Amino acid sequence: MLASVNSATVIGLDAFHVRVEVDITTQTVAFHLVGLPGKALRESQERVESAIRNSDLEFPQAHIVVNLAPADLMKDGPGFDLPIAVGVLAANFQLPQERLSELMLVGELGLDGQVRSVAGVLPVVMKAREMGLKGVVVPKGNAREAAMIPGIEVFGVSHLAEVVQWLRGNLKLCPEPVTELGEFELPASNGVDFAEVRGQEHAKRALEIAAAGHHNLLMIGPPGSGKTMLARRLPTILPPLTVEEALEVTRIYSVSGLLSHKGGLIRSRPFRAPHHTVSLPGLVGGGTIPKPGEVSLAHHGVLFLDEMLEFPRSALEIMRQPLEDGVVTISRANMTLTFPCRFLLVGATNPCPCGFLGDPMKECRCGESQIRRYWKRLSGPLMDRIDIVIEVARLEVEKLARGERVRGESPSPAPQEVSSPSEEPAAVALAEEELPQFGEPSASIRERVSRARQIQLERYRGLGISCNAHLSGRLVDRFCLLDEAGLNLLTRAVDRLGLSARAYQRIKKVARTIADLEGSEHIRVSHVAEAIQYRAAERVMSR
Amino acid sequence: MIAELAAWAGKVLLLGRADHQRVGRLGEAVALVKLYSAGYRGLRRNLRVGGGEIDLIAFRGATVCVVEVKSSYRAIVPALVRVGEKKRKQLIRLARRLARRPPFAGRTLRFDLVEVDFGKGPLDLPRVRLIENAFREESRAT
Repeated sequence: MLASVNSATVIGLDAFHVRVEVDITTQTVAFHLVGLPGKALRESQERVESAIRNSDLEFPQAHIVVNLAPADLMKDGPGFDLPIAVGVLAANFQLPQERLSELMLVGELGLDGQVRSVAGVLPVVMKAREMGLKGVVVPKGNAREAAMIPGIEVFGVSHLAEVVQWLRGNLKLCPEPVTELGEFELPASNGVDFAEVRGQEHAKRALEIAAAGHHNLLMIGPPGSGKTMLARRLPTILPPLTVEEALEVTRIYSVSGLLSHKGGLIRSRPFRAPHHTVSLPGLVGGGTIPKPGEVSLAHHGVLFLDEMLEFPRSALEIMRQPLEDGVVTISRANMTLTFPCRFLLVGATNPCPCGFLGDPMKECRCGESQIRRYWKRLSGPLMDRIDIVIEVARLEVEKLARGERVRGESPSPAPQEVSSPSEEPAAVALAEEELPQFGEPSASIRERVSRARQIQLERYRGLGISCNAHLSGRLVDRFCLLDEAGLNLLTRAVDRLGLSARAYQRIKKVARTIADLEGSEHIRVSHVAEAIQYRAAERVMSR
Repeated sequence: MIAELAAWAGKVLLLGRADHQRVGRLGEAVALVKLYSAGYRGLRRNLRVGGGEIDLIAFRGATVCVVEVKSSYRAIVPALVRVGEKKRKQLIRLARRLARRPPFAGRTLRFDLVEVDFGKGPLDLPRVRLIENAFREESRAT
């Protein structure tokens, strides 16, 4: 007897329809799984058999052939366990087949028949809706995630027996209520806020500009000067994700299996900080059936490279194309995949191998040639894509101690509210300690940034770009007009500091952003002057 | 139990003259008793199919059972393990041929295993164990 069940496999960020066909005949007792199954999938036979037997159902002792059509598409992952099990039962007359044609099933089975969650449910549900199916059956753990797609009924199940009873009509399942996308509270701040940062006004301002114009940023400073702390707070001042952006991000996380079980849309901008030992496929994505890498996980968010110069040169160079195009293309012999990766690159590095070059308190022990070799790892083409370079100095102790609570004094009132839990329990713990505030809170900076972004969006409407950082050479000349004084200042600065033609363009772009932050239509001298400052640190590198 | 007693009787008769072939043949006789008492019918011994021999073949209901017999004097390794990859492949090949000719055509064929352990000492009671569905055809995919 023949049965067929709808399922899907995810390749890249898209789901492809897979028909699971099960044929049971009389011949030697056998179980054949055909249709290019991957490793995890080939093992599904054992899981399916145990799950069926342990759900008080009969696993037929007969010649079973399972075909995953289309036969030439590579398939992998445990998500086919549930459709195979249902197909086997249907082909063995243990289930009615009528409803199977309008359903899509996906899920991993445990040996006891439990349905376990799988990665990449979101694209599968999108595919099912596109195909006009009535419903999808997904693991309970993925139900919230799946329910984000309206227009299709989502059934979350936790056990194979539940599915069987439901298909037999002995059990009623309620479709998962559609998760509302519209209601957008401000994204969780990960428990960190700019208000906790003492001093570093210069760096904070640079981050604000970087956020406003989507400029990539490099921070140079001795150890302990707060580079990492500053970078972690950058997502809190980026404008909130739009619904489309949030869906894109959620999709990437769904495919990577990184969505939490509570599910729902990812509302806060991602912050990814890969360690410098990251492998190339880990960074840009890869695998036999490629999965997104760190650059794609940072899509619409921040990619923070701590100790940037410790990254292997190949890792840094490989990011040139993603930075330029906002997408990363992975080519394999039998497929080419494209993942989006429009991220804000933030690098942090020490000024020299020992870390104390230019530090007022501690002497640098590095030789001239050592330092030169250190900076050589940052190639010109990559520097070309970094608009803002700042030095982050260590705070002097008086500044650190200012505003410190002294024992005996009553603790400051107004405990900070920590919204949703984040990936960094340490950071949450820090915020819960009701830290007194030292600077401007993130929310008010974010307001300014959002306003500046809005200005840019309107200005570049129809040009295919959305922010100043993406301006190409021709567009820079069109939109970043300087006045007489500004031009004078810039030429003098370029001359004095020995800046390149590239730097010249970038200063103009950054000046444009500074003007936008002020709401000024024209770029004034003061804007140019400030923008030049964010190049000044380049001399550390080009000595 | 009947099978065990038969095995014990056979062992006593064979005493001292046990070589591999004799043990094997005795084991097959014991397995025959075991299968019959377990409800298998239409038993046939040493059926020659093109290119090989099947120890025992029987009907269990409508299912055809291809039975391999493994006999030993107190084996350390279980019989299921002693039927190696090569033997399994051979049995599957034979079964496929068998499936084409009457009265086996159009029926489900499964593979069973009977383990006969006579025990070392003359007074040890032999153990006879029937393993249904001992193995099956695996995926052709590599």
